[in-house]
Amino acid sequence: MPLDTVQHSIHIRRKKNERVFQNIARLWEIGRQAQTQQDILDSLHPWNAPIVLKFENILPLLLAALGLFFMLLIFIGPTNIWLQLCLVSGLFMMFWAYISYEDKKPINDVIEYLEQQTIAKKYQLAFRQQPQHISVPLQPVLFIAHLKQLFPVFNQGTLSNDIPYYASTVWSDEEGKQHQVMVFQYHYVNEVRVRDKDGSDVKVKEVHKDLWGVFVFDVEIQGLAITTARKNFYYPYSFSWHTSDIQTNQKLNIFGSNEMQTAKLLSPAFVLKLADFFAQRQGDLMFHPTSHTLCFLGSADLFKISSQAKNIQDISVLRGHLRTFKLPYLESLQRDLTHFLK
Amino acid sequence: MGLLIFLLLIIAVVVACIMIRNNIVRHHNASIRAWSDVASYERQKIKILDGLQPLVEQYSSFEKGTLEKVTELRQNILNLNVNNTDVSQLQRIESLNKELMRSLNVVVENYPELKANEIYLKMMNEIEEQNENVGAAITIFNRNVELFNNHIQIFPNNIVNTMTMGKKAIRPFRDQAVTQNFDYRPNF
Repeated sequence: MPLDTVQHSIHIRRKKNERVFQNIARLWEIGRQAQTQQDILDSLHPWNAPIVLKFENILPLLLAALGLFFMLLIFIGPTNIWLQLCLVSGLFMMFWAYISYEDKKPINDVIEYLEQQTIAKKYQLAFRQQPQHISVPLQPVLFIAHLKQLFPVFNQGTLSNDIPYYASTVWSDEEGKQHQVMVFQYHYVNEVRVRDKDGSDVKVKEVHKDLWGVFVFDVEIQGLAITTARKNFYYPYSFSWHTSDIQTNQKLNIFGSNEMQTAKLLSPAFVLKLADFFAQRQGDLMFHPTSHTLCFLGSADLFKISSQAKNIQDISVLRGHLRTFKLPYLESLQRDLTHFLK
Repeated sequence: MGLLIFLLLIIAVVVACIMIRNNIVRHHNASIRAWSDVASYERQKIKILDGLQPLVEQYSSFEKGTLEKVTELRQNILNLNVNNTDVSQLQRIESLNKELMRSLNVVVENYPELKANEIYLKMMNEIEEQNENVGAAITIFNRNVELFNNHIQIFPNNIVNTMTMGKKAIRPFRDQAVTQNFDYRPNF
């Protein structure tokens, strides 16, 4: 295989990949400038350029395979000069394959960025911003720390308890009533001590876990905690309560901060609303006794999108993905929670 | 060894019977509580009806029928047995309640000034809230009744029930007015 031909061939491939890089740069720009989800979709069609979004890596892979073959020939006769030359050329081919191989990371990064932008526009999520109803700018760290200390569920990790990812939004119910909401991811780390077979050596292992939830502000209901887990709540939710519904009692554990208030609050209509809310859901629902704040924390990933971005090889497939994907758990929680708070 | 196994089996059967009996008691008590909720939420309507009566009277001197319905509903709620399930009386109350709500809507159409009366609107909201709670309490009662009836009728719970308690199945609440509108009758 003449060297010039190989070089020429690589040059052609680079040109092809140059188009993909141009598309990636254009996608970043679209994501930055779009105001709505429709803006993103409109910018993707018509594209008026080659729509390819996949790097051509056939030549580097062939070179790598050939180079490996050449290198392995040395085992036949290590002292043979021709086979030594094969080794050198094999190494060169491997190097060339390495430098001419295009990784998928830039494509995945831009798709992820567009997904984030689409989520933000579609669900009106303002990432890493405090809720709109708080007019005074707050330190994010202090604000998050304040919210965490309101509810006794953010102490599940022995090593760390963080809210690394959050977004503010406004939910409206069917009657147009608006609720200020903050969607978040709660990440906690536990330390687990593992003993060896001998029972003497102790290994320390970190177990990372995530939960997802929402804070809803300016809620009328106060001083109530409901959980689907077999656990007890303590102060301020000190009083355990059983409803008149057997099925609800079997599924939910209810705690109130004040017996009289809990008895008044848990009317039959409210109990049925609770049963409906937890019909397809696991987690903890808490209403703070004084601060008019609600917190729901569950295991369903609220930021998880319905379809994964697999096999996106051109702009039209990317557009289809961005047009149709959803946050199913967030949508379901929004629907059920706004209905519950009506 | 054989004797030990025999004794263990006997103990296991006795423990199972105790657990079944306790569950029947729990379900029965839950059904009683659910019925009490139904009755007490119906009773709470009396207070609202007492306030509503003079107000409607003032506006609707010719709507005698509505006033009679208010009085009749009030009397029927008072007659509802709080301690024992009285489904037929509850059915009558619910039917009267619907008739009254219909009449009140007609009265409001005839007297627009009543529609604008804040006290009347507040009372209607309270009645609606109570009706919502009564509806939910009836749903919970029916759910509990179903669980209780299942619990005393399935095998081997029926044997334990017959031998130790003799509880009878409770009749769930059915809205006669609604079921009469259907041609279809389920054959159970």
